[in-house]
Amino acid sequence: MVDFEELKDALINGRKEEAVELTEKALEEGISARHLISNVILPASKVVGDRYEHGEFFLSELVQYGDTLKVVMGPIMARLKEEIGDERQERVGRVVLATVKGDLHDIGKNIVRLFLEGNGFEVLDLGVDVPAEKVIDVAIEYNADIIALSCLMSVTRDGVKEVIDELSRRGLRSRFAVLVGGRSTSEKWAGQIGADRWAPDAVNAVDAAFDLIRQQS
Amino acid sequence: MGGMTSLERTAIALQGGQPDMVPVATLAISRALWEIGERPRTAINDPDKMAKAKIVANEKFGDDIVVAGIDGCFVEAKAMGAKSFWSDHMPIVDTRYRVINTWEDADNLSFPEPHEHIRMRCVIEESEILMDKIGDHKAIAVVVSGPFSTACNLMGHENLFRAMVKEPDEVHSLLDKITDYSIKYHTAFKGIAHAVAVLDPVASVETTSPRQYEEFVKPYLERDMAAIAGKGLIPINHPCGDTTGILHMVADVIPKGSPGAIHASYGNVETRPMSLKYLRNVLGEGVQLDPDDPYSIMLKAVKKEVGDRVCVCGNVDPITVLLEGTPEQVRATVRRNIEYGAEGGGFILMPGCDTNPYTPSENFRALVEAAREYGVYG
Repeated sequence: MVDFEELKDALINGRKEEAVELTEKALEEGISARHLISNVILPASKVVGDRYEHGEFFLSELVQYGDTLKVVMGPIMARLKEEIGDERQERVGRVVLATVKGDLHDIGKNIVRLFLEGNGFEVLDLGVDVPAEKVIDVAIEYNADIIALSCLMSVTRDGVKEVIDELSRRGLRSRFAVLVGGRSTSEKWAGQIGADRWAPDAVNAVDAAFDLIRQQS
Repeated sequence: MGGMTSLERTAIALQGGQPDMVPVATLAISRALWEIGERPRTAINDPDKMAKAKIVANEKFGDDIVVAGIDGCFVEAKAMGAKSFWSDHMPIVDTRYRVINTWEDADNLSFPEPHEHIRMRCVIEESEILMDKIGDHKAIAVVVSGPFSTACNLMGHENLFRAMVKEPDEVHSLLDKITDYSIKYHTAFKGIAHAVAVLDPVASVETTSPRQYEEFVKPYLERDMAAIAGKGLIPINHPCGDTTGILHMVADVIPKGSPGAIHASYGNVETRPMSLKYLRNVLGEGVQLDPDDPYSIMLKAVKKEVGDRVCVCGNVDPITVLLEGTPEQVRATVRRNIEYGAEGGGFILMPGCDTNPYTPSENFRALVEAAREYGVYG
């Protein structure tokens, strides 16, 4: 039997080969993908988040965790598809994520993606310098629940407001929850431009995303 | 006004001393161009316009320090082959295009002479003009990039932070080359600037661990800063963000016995548990926090920890206070900053980072006026 604590430890500390080997072994042993997500992936993500928040983990650890999570999720998601078929009810929520127009900073956004995925969200990451129209077009097509927007520079903050204004212009404001973050943003400013939630970091972004999904349902 | 010139006032503070009053800088950098009807896009490669803008903005706001350069975080990487991307504010490095994808790329980097690369040449010429026109009474500081942040501009964050774990020797070899080249550029300001502010935004603990700072940032900055100081220029270390756990190293890179300063936001007690823990460790559990101004209080801790050996710069929040606040809020924040940071000298009041060009003029004015009002040493 695979020891879940061992697998969690390998995942948290970015020991990629060991984590993949243990994941495949667990799946071979008949452990369900859902069980692995609930008992390994989600708790591991929480540990990584706590350690980052408290200054025990930094970017290198997050990058290694992300690399490991990516390869571990491959076989888990393949098994999950077999388990649930095309049932959509199983998903936690869908997020379209972007750094807004004019801004190329992606590291904070990438950490948010990692944590959202680690917590079971489906994330479509549009990258950096993404215009408002594109964010919204993709959110419609992807049937997203949340539009999550990042900007680091204060001069590019208007890109966030443009997405919210464009949603209103198209009569779509109530269809998507808008989550905002990034160094130049603040809770007060996010409220002023009409965002639904603001998060100061990736850990809080996950909590905010769960809240937004709960509110929608 | 006191009896000292801006230059004298700033020089004394940078040496850790107490001038007639607290020196102040607005860091109205790209904004300065607006004051002459230009924008970064129309003037960045015209040293005459750049210098004129900085002088006009300085005359309007009346601060003590004039900054040469605009895209200081990126110039070295651009000289080594990085591509520019225009935001409204300045041409930043386009991180979607990476100069270094393999270590072979790192072996084939180009290192043009500073006078032969357009961005380096323009900043050097801008600084020359500023020094010539106002350098006898104003402090001229040029903004440049730290070797670690330049490496990140060349490789991209994820690749650099992965490589520091998996291929540290190659990272050291790259940093060594970047440092050699950076020194060439940074020391080219000998005689045409008073201070060199080395911007190293990737080196704060939002991304870099204290252990990595010690191994991959500090030795290269030390070498850079020593070379800068060796040419009679005053080094300023700007790691930009949270310095919790690295503050002593940030101060230690300033060569012993030389004037020098540190400048950062130092942390945010509202959003970063680490900052709050650090603050309480240094100042005690009962420290009073102001939810509308989570930055200023950090000065008190920083001053207590390293203020005896290095000049401390900061720490007005450039966004929530300067960009979004009222002149009254700016004045109140300046008063707090002076209360926390000014005692005994060795302090320069300025925003915790570069300012947004849309910052209201009345807020820049309030920053300087309040510094003059509250910052007089008795």
